Amino acid sequence: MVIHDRSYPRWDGDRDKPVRGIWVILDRGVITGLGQIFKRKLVGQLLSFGAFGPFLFALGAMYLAFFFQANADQYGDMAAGMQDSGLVQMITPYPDTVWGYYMQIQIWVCLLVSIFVGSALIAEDRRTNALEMYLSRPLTVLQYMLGKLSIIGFFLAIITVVPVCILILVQSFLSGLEPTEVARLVDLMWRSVLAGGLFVGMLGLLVLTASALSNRARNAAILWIGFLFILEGLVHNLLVEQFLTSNVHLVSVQFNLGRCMAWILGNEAELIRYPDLPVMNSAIVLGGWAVLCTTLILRKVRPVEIVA
Amino acid sequence: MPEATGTADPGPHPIIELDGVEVRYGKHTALSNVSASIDGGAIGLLGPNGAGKSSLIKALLGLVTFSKGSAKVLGRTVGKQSGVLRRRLGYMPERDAAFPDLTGFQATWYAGRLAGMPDADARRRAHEVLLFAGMEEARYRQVSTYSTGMRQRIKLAQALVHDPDLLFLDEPTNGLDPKGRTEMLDLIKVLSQDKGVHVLLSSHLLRDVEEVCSQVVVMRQGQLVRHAPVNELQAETADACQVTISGAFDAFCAECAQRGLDVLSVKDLHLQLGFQNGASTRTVFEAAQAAGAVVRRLTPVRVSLEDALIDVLGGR
Repeated sequence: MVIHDRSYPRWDGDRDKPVRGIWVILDRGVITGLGQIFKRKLVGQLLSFGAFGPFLFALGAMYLAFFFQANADQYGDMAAGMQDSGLVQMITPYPDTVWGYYMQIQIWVCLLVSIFVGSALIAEDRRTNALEMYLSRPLTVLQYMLGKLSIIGFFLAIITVVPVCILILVQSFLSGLEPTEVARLVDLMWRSVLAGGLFVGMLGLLVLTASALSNRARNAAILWIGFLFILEGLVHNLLVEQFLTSNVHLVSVQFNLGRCMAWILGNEAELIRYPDLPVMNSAIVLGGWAVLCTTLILRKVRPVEIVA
Repeated sequence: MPEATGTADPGPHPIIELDGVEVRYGKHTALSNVSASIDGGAIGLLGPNGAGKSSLIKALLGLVTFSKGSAKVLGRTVGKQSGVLRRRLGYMPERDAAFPDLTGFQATWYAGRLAGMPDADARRRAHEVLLFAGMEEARYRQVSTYSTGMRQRIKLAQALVHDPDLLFLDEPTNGLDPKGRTEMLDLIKVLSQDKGVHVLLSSHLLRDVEEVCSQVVVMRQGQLVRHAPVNELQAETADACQVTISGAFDAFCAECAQRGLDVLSVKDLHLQLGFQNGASTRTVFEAAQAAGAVVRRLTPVRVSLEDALIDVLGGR
């Protein structure tokens, strides 16, 4: 028979060590997030395929292009074929390919991940009154918010920034560490990390705001999808149709994000599409969204519900 | 891990110092000019609904900011040092509160980690406090499946996991059946009397406070109206007795009034008398003798904390 000690022992640990609240929230949140994604196995598998499929394809194609070129005497036709089809251009890390990877390929799966993981982050804590539990610990509201932001940031980063960085690293090795190419790729690497950080941070902040404004994950998801559908789709397109001026693009978060990321990456092709619209305008609008989101989250994340 | 028994380290003296504390929620004043110096031990926080008990606890935890005044808990200033302070404070909220999608063990471990405990220590402590709270059978079940009593216990375990020096308990027996209530009070008694954890127990159930606490803080309309040891509060309140007399009734009443005996109620020849100014049962007999009446029956009435509280709050 197991005999349990039911007494109350004191803890003699070090109480003066700094509390890593953000890390603790991230650690737990990642496990919970994975649980939410893989709650239905098929959904988890499809999402994983969508998230890492393009990356694995690019990695494979990159290796094949290198292999065919290295064995041109045997596979010269194959190498030429890949070059002619434009596949090599498409998979080789350049500012426009990295921009396209973020804004055209991965954005859809990022939105799905943000719905599955992000919508529950604060909404469920509000539903279960967990905010009172969090904030009665040595944790500030800002640390709580950053902890939650880091969870969604983690999931978005592993399907955007991390694959891009791996592709750039692989490309630099496949180039035989040729100095000019390595210098170009190092420059592209930090630009990609910066642009990816903006992408992840902005998307995370928006979905976190939707989550903070609701007290159920489902409602937060509906709010988030509604925001994307109404503002990004309906309002943006209607204004563009009505006014036929590039200034109305500023209402779209996706547009402003794309412009700022293109500027960071040095993607000239994207920047010259709207020569009369300075990137600074998009940056100011994005800054406004960030301030609005942070204010809303800080107003909603309170340990005490004040009923007027 | 050392086991603390007997009288605990008294810590800084006093454990709570309030200096003109005011807390406002918009236009509503929840606490107004609250000043007190409260020593350690088990402290009962009493008062009717809306008196400001929960607001006081939240203000001491630094969850709401003071509009005016300042406070020190365990020698540290609330607000400026709340981060450091909360590592030494435990809080069991009144409302149902739980980290979502976690088992009892995970929730308790997570609470410990958030309080700054290393992972291994938090795991060990989580098991220990769950056993202490009587949750060993249910610790691997989702908290969302728990009954009300189990939720109260898991909240207590989460408040205790980081071994606080001062424990704030906001209505800990809410929703518990009599057996659960007794068990919860027993746990609190063990903590405060044997393990040296200071306890601030907010409750509207006076018997809970009477059973556990050695001193009480009484609040009304956001103000602290009394802070005293429980027995002092009971002693100060007019004790009473029930008397049945025969003979000169009116003269007896007049004699009682002269000798510091309040006639609280009268029914035929049965009176309830309240003792004032050092009056006692002897005074009743003296009054009867002086009035020419005979005391047929005299039954002392015990003053409960409830009577004392009604007195303090001006209920009679």
